[in-house]
Amino acid sequence: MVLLRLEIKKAANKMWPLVFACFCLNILGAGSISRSIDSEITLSSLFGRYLPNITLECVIITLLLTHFIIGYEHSYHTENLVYSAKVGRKCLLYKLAAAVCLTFVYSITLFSASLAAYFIKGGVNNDWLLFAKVLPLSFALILLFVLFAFTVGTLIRNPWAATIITISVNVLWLGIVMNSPDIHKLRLPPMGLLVSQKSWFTNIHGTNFELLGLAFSGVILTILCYSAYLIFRRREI
Amino acid sequence: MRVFLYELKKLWNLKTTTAILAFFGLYFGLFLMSEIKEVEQYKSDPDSKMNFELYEELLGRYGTVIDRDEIIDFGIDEKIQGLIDRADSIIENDKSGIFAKYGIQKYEEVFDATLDMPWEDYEAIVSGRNSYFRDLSLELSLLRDIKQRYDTNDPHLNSHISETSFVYARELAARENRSVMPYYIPEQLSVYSAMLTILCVICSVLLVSPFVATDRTRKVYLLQYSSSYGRKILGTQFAAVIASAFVLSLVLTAFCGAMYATLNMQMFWDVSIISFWGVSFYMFGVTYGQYALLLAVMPIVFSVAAACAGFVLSRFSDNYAKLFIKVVPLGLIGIIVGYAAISNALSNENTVFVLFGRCLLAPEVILCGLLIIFGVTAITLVLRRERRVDI
Repeated sequence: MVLLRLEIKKAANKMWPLVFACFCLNILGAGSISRSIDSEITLSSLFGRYLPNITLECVIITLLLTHFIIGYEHSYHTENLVYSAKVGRKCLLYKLAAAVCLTFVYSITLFSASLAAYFIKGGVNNDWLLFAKVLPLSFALILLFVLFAFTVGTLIRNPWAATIITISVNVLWLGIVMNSPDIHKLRLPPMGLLVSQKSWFTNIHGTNFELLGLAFSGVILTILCYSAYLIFRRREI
Repeated sequence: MRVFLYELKKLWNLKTTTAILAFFGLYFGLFLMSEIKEVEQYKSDPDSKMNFELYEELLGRYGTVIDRDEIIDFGIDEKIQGLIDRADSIIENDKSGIFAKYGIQKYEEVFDATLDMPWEDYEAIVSGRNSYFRDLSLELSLLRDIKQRYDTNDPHLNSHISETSFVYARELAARENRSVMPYYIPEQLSVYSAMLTILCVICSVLLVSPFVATDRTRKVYLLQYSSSYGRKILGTQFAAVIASAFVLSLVLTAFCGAMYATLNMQMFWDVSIISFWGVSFYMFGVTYGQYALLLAVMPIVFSVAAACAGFVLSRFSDNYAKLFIKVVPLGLIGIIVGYAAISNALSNENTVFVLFGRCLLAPEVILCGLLIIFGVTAITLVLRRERRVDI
């Protein structure tokens, strides 16, 4: 518990400026949405434009945060000290836990503040049942990105290179999805799910593709994460 | 000069160059190539091929601008009447009885009758590939479109003109702008250029950011700063960064421009982008060629500005963790602003123009100038501070 608290402390205040910037952007977005539409289509604007944007912002924050926490020892030249003992190597799991905890804190803050701004500006004429279904899945999706960043960050020691590779892989996957709109299986990985968030629960890409995608990516990424951890435990520093 | 060359060597190290080349290859293949293919597909599509043939005919016969006498000479009314007569004769000579089934005797009655028609018959008469009137109705609607738009601007365009506060823009719209330019050609070029800007910004940030931060991480700067000459090293590094970002974006733009040139859009080079076909409204009556040059310069400007910002931020990053927390959001902002400024540049649908309340002329071009000024000013201040800073 002490180790977890220490890991959280390292990155606790790093992302607040970015969260605030995203919140400001969302307020602008909420304003333009409420000006441009009437209350009858508030539902589609919320699920079609607003929520995917907030999720994307949370994903960017999450990726940066996870790489910051995982690459902290490399950046501050404390690798040789921390990872010389077995307990030190186990720290990586605490780092993952810290990344997950902070991701939740940042995401909940950003989601609640932005949605509050939206409901104040755009009205509350929404489908709460759908909302209750989409929101937990968005958090699960953000969690998948934590696992992805953890895997890359553990295998590639340089946090700068790891961040660039994570972002590049996701951007290029986006390109693949956009170039093959008919291949629905490409939407099962996290980036595919993020791109098609507006079509969740609509069966456009197949029945329950969002649940299937989350389960599929969850299993694959958990295996990759554990494998990366096992490799890291035996790696020469 | 020797130090400058050494800094360039440090900047263009094998890892960074490989990363940039790999990213460029994948990005070009996935995003820019798909834009080019989209236009190619559009050009080879039978429907749009007809449009292109018509533009070529108009350009060949009347030059870049078509005036009222020429539109009469082109004989649109006669052509429309000829097509209608041909359609009527098809109906008259039809032996399948499909027209008689719905009581159609003239071509003008076809579209009223299609409202209650089953899908199979509708496809056989109008919409199917081998239907009676598919090509004919497309050609007819195209000619009618030209006639109608030539006489009165598109209603969508008129509404935009009325909400634009510039006297200059209104005068421009009121002028006889009769150029033979399909509206989607400048629009498509601007989207391609915006995608290129994203590539240039990412490559510049990738190239520049770890450069200064690596010196900081390895504490090399402590050694350099111990002498007065060493204190000037940041200036040399800045020169290397700017030169590299400029050359990199120039090469990328030249390559992507050459690939775009394979689409053979050069026939519109001297044609004004303001056209009676247009649905979006351009603020300046520049030619397609001038517009293309502007759209080639803007990615380079954004790339150099991103390099300046990346350089300043990496100067204040002691390690890689601090670096990417600053640089990645900067890159994202650069991408968003670049895309917003360049797509539909100079038109009333440009995001930056809309954000400025449609009351500032060409704000995207002003923004480019400001970015460069801010970038160079920030670096000058940092360089000046660096000479006396206590380490």
